[in-house]
Amino acid sequence: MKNDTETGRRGNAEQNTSPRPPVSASRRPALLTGPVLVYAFTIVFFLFFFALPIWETLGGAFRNPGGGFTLDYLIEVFRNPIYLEGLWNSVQMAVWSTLLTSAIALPLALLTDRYLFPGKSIFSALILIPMILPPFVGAIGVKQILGQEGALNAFLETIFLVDPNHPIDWLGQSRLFGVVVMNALHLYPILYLNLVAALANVDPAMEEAAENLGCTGFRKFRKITLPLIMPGFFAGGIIVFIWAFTELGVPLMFDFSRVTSVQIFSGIKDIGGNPFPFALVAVMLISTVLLYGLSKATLGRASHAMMAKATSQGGPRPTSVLGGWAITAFFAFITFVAVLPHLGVVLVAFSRDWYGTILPDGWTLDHFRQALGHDLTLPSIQNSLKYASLATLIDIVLGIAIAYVVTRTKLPGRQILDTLAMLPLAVPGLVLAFGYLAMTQEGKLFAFMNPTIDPLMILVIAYSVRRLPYVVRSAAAGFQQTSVTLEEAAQNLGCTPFRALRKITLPLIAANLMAGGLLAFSFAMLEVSDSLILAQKQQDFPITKAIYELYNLLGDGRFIASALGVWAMIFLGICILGASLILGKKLGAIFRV
Amino acid sequence: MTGRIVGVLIALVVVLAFPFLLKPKENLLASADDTLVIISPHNEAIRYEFSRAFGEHYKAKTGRTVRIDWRIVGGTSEIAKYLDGEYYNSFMRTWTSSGQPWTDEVSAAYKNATTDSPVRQAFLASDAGIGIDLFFGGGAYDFIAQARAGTLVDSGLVTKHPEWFTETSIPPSVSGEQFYDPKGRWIGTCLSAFGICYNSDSLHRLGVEILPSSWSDLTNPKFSHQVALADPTKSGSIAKAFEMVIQQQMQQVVGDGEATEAALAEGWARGLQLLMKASANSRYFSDAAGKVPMDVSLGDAAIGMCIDFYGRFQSEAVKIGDAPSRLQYFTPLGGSSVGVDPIGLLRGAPNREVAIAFMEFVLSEEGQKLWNFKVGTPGGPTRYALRRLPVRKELYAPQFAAYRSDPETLPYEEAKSFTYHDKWTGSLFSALRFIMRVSCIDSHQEQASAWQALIKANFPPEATAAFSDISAIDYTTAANVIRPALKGSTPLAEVQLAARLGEHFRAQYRRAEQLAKEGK
Repeated sequence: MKNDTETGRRGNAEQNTSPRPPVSASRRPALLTGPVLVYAFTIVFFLFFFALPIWETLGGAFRNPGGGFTLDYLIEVFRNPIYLEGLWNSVQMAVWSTLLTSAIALPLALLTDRYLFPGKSIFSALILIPMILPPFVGAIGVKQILGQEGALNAFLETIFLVDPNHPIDWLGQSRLFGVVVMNALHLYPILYLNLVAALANVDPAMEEAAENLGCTGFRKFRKITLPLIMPGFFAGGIIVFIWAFTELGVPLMFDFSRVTSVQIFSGIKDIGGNPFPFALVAVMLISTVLLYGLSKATLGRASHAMMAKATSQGGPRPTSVLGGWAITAFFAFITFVAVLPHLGVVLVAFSRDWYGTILPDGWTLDHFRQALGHDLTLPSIQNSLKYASLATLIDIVLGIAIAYVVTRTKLPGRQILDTLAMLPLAVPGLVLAFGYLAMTQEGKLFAFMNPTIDPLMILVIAYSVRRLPYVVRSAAAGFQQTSVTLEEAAQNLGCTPFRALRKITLPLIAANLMAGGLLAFSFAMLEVSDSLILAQKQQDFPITKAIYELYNLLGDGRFIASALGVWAMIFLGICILGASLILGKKLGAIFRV
Repeated sequence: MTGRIVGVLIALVVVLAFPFLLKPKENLLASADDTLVIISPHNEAIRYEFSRAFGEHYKAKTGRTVRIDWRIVGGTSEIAKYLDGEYYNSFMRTWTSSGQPWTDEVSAAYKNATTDSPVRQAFLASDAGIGIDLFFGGGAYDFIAQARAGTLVDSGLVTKHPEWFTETSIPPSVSGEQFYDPKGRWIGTCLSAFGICYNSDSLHRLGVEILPSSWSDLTNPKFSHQVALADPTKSGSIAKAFEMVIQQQMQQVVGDGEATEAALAEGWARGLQLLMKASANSRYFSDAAGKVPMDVSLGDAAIGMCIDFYGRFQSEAVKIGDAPSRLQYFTPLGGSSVGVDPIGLLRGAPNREVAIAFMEFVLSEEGQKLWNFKVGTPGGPTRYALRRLPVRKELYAPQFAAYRSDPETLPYEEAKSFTYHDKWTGSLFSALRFIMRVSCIDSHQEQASAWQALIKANFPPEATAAFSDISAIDYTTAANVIRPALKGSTPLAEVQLAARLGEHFRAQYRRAEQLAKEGK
């Protein structure tokens, strides 16, 4: 950020020394050099911290035993029926998850944007909770609810809907369906946040104009509102899509092994050491690029930038008492279902034992004493805060820069930059993590970042690369919806392009940045692969690795890990809700402009 | 607004204050006079107890403090990859620093135990290190592999303490399993075996009246979709357990007679068919050691295959009051050998002396007590009962029974009912993993579906025969076709062979399902 501003000032200084050229001509050098610099920096950054680690791990997929280049492994993926079926299942998982996520998020976002209803502020804040499910213990929570002797079956047995001798095997029998539902319930906040931000940016005058011309109801939504919020819809939808396409934990939870992500995971862990799983990673990367390109071409192209909102009668309006409560009930239902795994984790953390009953058999605080009093806990919290905040900072600076170049300039090849920024979503965490490990070994170019000496640099970079897509998408959506004419007006009044960006556009898209930044921070705090592989010394462990270590303790491990997981959820919950409290007049208002 | 900011800040401070307030008094991560770096898959409980006890021992012996820097990179398979990568780089530096070029031949030769090239000799003579002193924990399989690669070196303990390496303390091998490397590159520290854990509530619910007692109980059709298995392709020790299942069948066929080729082939076929049926019953093949006993104790699976100490520990953990625990564990009699979890000194260890002192401590009676003594007993652990079984026989003496967590478990007695015959299946170890992958793991969906159709149709003969046809992977084919194919093959050929055999089994299961539906 600082560098950008300085570059801008320097550009300005150069202009002042020149003998007063026409305004438009004077702007060109700064406009060109800034974006070109961003472009070049991003390419170099990705080359070193994305392409290089992937190559370090994936190289074997393109090397034949003699050391020469080969595409045989890649071709073999498409000849192998099990891998093809896996790929097809992954695509299905992504498509259905995205559709179901939209079916949940779109109505919720529209209702929030349009109506006042009882408990609105609380629900629009609670909606964020599903995202902050810590790893490992999340599966404990799900099992506790959906297991054969879990709470759901216990409840259904109590009301005589299920025979206790034949409990329903929710996890074992639902496979694709179960994975899709779980994905949707975990991912809808991402789409919701983007949609609410997009809806808030819609100029009510547009819709009023449509109504004046007789276009109302669903037709108005389809013809006016939907096209106007398309950038936000695309921004959130593509993250959900790629996320679901590459999701590993959820299919593993449902023991659904014939999907590409699980095949890769299990291939990488195979002791045989065949390079073949890396060919699968390459296929997954290529598929993601293609799918991203395809959806961008069909959905992401239409963008309608709007001027600042006109003062109007728009905004949320009250409904009838019954309608209001109906909306509240809808929100309450979705939220309740989505936070069931969290409830599971919370209850496990406080329970002595929980087996075959709706609620735990006994309660205790002891797991918290053990979890928070453990040698690993305090240092890991300090480490995670440090790693995640630095990574978020990098993401915001880089994210704004990339989004600006992509949406505001006509630089050739800017679409490549855009796609590049999305790719980290498509690479399995383990592949990047092993790559980072390999490229920081002694004797290599990045040996000075060796994680056994100090993992700070490499972990911050790893976290930021992996979380960059959230910020880029949020920022890009903001830029697309905010008319460039506002910046141009400022520039006409003597503002430098960067000052115009800083003073005009960035404040207008602050909500988008906040949303992207919060997502990046939360997910960085909960990051698994890099944390497990790169933090090797106990004093460098981040909180996820501490949870993992506690989880692996025999006997009480799952209770103690859940307790630390609950602490992490409370902390992230306060961060997110706190940010919304401070920034907005009411809870959840941070996602409005 | 200010009020809100203050409110949020107070909430954050309160949440952050808890870990500060509960901070432990002693800091095991603090710096010390000496350091020891250990790479290990052991869990936090084992790490804690050994750090603490060795710290006290070292202080008493030398007057110096020591800090153990545990390197935790994941499970045994991650550690093996990590060591591979690190030693590759380390030796590359050593090699190139002497002005010699790093070629593909060099990179292939340095860890190849079958050649005696100058490169290999240079590696074995070098002090190429990776900044880590010890490799502690995991299966003997991984230690044998590392010793062969040349990354482990002799610690000198086998010659220094001949009294430990006798039949009355640490025998060279038990039930056919090696307990230490005669060249001293690795030494077993504690014992482990594979067995079966089951949930008695689930058994009752499923109508299983006779309690399970052998591996073949995993094939009971009542356990359809209720079995939790460990993945033999992810860990050498699990693959070893699968090999034991087959060896037990071979032993039963051979009986007191001669181990003829035909008898072994019959045993191999029975073993594979047993594994296929167990796999058809299974929910998954897990690579996480703790998942199986955890799932079974929660009733998410009724029965499963797990490592002994995980089973025993989880059984105790879910026990309420004096009632028998709902999770029970047993090692099938004559169905499992007893293996060791070793420790070994890594090449180029930077703190060699401290490392050897640690190994000595772990193998001493003092260190061995930590494995199975109860918390708070004299010489026992102070915080966690580890529930592992010590390797040294002295610890099973009656005078320690009162202190041990598992006084009834006598692994050296159990081991007598089984003898591992390396000749029978040893050379087929990789082939067996591959066979399990193609016939059970890759084709699991079709296999389970066929199995359910068979159960529904009450096992019609033709369909059942089709299901259990193992002609594509029989003893002779495994030895004469699959093993050589894997040995001399390129990765691509291996994948193609897997695809071909995988397709074969998928088709076979689909046919069996079809036949079952037709009632044939």
